[in-house]
Amino acid sequence: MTDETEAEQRRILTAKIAEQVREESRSTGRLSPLNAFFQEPYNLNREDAEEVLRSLAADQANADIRVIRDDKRGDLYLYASPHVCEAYAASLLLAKISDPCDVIAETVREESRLYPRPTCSLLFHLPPYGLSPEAMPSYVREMGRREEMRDIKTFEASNGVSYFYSERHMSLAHARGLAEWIEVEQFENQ
Amino acid sequence: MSSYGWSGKILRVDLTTGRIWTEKTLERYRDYLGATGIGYKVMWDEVPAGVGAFDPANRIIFGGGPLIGTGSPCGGRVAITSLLPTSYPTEVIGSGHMGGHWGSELKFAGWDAIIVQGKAPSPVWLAVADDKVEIRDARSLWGSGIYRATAEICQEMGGEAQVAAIGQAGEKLVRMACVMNGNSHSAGGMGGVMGSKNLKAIGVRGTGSVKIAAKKKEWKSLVNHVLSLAGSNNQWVVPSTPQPWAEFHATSSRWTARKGLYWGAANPPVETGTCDPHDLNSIGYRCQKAVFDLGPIAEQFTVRMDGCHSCPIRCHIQISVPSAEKYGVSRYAANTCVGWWGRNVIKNYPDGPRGMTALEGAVVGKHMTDDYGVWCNYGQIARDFQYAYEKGVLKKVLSEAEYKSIPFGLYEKGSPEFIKDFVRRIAFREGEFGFALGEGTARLARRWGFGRDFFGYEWNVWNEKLGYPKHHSNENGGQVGTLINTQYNRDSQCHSHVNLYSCGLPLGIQKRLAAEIFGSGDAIDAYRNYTPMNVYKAKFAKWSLIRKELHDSLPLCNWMFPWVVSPLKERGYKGDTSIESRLYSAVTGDGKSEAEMDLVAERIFNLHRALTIRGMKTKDMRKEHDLVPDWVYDYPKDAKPLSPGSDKMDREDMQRAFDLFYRECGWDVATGSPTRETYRRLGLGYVADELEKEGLLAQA
Repeated sequence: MTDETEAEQRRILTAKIAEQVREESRSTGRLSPLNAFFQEPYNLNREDAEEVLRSLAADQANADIRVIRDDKRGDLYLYASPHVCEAYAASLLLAKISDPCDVIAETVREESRLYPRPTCSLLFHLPPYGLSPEAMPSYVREMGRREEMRDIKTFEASNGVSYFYSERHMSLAHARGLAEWIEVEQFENQ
Repeated sequence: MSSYGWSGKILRVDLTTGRIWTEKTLERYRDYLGATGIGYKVMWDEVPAGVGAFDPANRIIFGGGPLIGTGSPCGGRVAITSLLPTSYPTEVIGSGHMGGHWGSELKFAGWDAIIVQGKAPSPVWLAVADDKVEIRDARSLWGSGIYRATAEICQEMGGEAQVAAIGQAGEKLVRMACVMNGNSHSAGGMGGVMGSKNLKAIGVRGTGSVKIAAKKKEWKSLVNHVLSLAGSNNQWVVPSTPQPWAEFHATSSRWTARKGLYWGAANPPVETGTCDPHDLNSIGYRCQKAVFDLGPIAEQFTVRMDGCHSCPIRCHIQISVPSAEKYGVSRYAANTCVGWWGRNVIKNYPDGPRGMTALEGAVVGKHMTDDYGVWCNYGQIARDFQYAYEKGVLKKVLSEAEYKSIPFGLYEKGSPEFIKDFVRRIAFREGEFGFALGEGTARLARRWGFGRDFFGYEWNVWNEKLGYPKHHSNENGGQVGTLINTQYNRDSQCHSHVNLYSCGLPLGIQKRLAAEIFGSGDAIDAYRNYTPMNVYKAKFAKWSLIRKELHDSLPLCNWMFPWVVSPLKERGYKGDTSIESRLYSAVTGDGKSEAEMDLVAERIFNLHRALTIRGMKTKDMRKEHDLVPDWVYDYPKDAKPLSPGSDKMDREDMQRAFDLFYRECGWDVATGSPTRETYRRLGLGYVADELEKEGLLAQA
């Protein structure tokens, strides 16, 4: 095979992979694991995969294809912006690789810091988290046992909905006040 | 000279004499834009202090502005300006606003506004078919509801006619009456004024077009730019659930669209879906308003969203609730937000506030209130009743016979049947109950001797003198919301500040964007963690108010604008606060900068202020008008003012807020009255002259 033919084949392969990632991001909102392309029909080896990643990065036409890395295991995942944004991709990865208590704690800390607001427990049943409602009480108990999660607190709004907040970034008073507004008072406001 | 945007003509009707004539819009009203701007100008020039809301000498002005009918996004609202029947003790200036298609149809007919004065000798309705205008006999319509009046008028004028009508409430001069058009669009408070003129309805049919100064390509590009920055209802720019495209989300967001959320009663059901903000064709799916307004149960009963002319947001709900028919009403209902207020007459539904019975209550309530044309004073009427009932006031003020005739058992059961009885009594002024509740909160509270506790937090009253409730007050922005709620003679209907405060973006981004407009991110606090007053918050409050007037006059929907923010990460979530001026300039060819438009709006806002001063015969607005209820400072009892978790304000801090705000507005700090210099700067020197003659001009 000539260099030209090889280059063309690589270009076609890269384009196919990019298109598949775009379609998966657009239609499912999920990450595309790089190691999925080691299987049929692509059958990439490690070297091929690295070459694909280099080609993707080098080609402006594929600037929308992003890579996110699981630092613990070294696995790589692809996604297409803007169908999946960087923050959502990070949440997807967190939900994929972390234990549920870490997912809850990281998310709660971020929300308490950034918005700032307490986090409704019901959030974690939704994508990208998908945690089981039945298992939530056990996660809460476990978080209570972990020293590094002492800052994560929980309370209920007056309608019984559970909320979390991180006392690193919010006070209980502030968290309660906001939760009460979200759950009850904004509807009484009308 | 060609007129772009404006049609150039205002329709004037004197119902006493039957005279119909035309005024040129731009000669007299150009500096006031349209809608409320024209309304306030007419009221200043033609309706002196001392005239009552129901006097023939009062005017009622219906109008859009230069943008209506042009296809400007969110440009479909109409203002109805007159003296407010509910304000007490003096009926002073106010306006109601309605969306729908009536205003654009009026523009297509070739009119910028309709000014009605006098009183017809017997019931009439106005037929406006392009430039053919007739006063027609409405005796056969009088006594019927809005639905029938609309149907009958459309029979005469054609199915494409748009009809603004009053129901029995307006006919009977119930102060709490509204004007409706298009089945779900209502303007509160003005129905009785129409009724006092024996004016049942205005039917409009327009076959003309609206001239736009900009070239087609330029206009299309501008409209696409505006659409590209749209969020969802109330300019929430983040979705309510995590979405793959969205960096942020917020549970309270009205951007409720997501996979698995449907217009469930459509055939087949329509999934609202992901709604990437770059997809301009899915803007109308972003807000599944039924689940927001009526609870998750409403999803399966949602046929579709609806809304106003040239608005992509679609915040009105069309639902079909078959079980509502057992109450003798149609299963089909449309409305939005507090338009569903009839539901709230019942405090406790057997299956909760967002259960099936409450949903049926919403349908029943909508049909009752929208057909009889009863207004709610932003939901306050339900609280007025509930207070009177719970505190035993009704037993004292009603005769035994009347008390027994009211089906309180249904109320206790949480049956929507009660709503029918409740609204009917008010619409027909039946007994003391129906009469007094229809008088409005201020008169009602005095007539029935409500205790001081009525003016506590639980019952929502903002201004006990004028009798209006809070509307996005301290709970939406601390001092900023508080100041805004003091400035009108009814609930403020101002969403300018809410459209930033409640956009869903993190505080850091809000502060960054606020700093660009107000000079510092200190203009905005975290929700429920308010800091002491500062000059930037005063700027924010002033800007919010003058933008509201700008929107009400152009028109652009203040429930959406201004757009400080957008959903676009690539813009740093920045919106475009020059949209108003750009749309105006493109449509009219009268190139005005953002600052120049704000000056026009400031003029209109100050004219409203002057009208209130003249009407109330006081220049001490600080003491007599700009009231803050005690509960803002006292509730909740165990919280400190300006502390995390509450909206509690501090009395001294609010006095400082007023000082800063008045200064920012160019008003005398001691009285809160515009100074001569401010009137002069705004081209209102004639206003200052008249006020000075009356001893109502603040000395600088």
